[in-house]
Amino acid sequence: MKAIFRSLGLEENRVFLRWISASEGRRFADSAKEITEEVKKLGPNPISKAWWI
Amino acid sequence: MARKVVLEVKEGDLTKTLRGFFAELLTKGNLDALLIPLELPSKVNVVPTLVTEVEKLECAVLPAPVMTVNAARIISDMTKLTPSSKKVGVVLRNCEIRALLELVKLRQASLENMIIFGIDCVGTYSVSEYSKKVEKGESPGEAIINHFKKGEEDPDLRQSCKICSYPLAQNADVVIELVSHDSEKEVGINVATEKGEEGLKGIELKEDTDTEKRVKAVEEILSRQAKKREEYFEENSSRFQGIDNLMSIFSPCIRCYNCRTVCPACYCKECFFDSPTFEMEADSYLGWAESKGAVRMPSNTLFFHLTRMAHMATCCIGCGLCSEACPNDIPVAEAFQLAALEVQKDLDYVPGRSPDEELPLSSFREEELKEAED
Repeated sequence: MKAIFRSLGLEENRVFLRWISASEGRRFADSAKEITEEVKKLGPNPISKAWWI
Repeated sequence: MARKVVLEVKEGDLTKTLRGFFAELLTKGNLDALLIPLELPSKVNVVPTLVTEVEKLECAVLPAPVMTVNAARIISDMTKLTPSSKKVGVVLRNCEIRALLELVKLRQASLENMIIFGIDCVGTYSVSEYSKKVEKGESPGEAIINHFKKGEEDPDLRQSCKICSYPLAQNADVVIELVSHDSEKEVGINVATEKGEEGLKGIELKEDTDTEKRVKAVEEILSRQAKKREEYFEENSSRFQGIDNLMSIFSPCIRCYNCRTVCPACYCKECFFDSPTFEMEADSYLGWAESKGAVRMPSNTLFFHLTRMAHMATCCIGCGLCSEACPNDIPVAEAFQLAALEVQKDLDYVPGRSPDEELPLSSFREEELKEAED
């Protein structure tokens, strides 16, 4: 997914890849918090309002 | 174990010689049928045909200068339910071989009793270009061979053919080598596997003494094509990059799904986009329209193409039939190859490179893609 976004000049930083096992509950929660913060920093997605896609 | 032989070209007529060769395989040889390109009686098209009667081979056209369908899809359609019980020789260009090997790995085709005769590809014209040439009285078969013999690129070739990564036949049971031999005089035949030997049982061929020239010719052509592809994407990838450019390319998309239909890698019985997921209530659409102010209908056009990329990018061989099938001339193949080559690079996978190589998404290693992790 990241490779596709990267090749097409779309924001690959909005797609996160992380291997987490079902037993790593803590890591999952922390990752979710981290991703939310990172994406908030990137600001609103300019495509979210695009009606023509 | 591979045996190299040569086939003498009679009267400098390559196509006629190859016709004769395949005719012998049906009559004297070991094959019950052939899947081979035949010229239609109307002469404006050449299509893959399942032939049992040798007289029909008089209209066989090799190398076929037009590609109406990726024959890998044909073989998959034929062998999906049950494998062939008779010996069939399938004459394929390399993009078809690559697609077929991937489909076999995906369990969508069976190679049982199928003997692959790979033939070096010199490129193809679009179906409409081919018929135009015929109507003007030109012979597209001759035109394409002439350009090949002179070693120059034919400007009328399909774009995907111009930037094709691997035009030379590989991974076939019998490789018909046009390149690396003087095609006025002879055609090289590499009987690469035991299946190949079986297919050629009963046929006598002269041994080839110089086996090194093929290696050199392959290297030359692969590097020439790699350079052409690199140059093309350097010049053209910006047309596809960024949401505005990308959507500009896909603006004419009418969601006919032709691209998906002709794609050999798209084998799903029910595409996600035809599934109940996309059967939505009116209020869902109205909800989107309210949140965005407006919504293009049918909705999710970019989503369709990105999803198709995500689903088949590891398998995209760049045959370009998607661009050919698009009624509005969208360069689908170029966009998809741009994404696919990046994905394949990340996963270090080349579709069709080896029949024994595991599919990247089906195989698991404990440590992998750490660099891709965030």
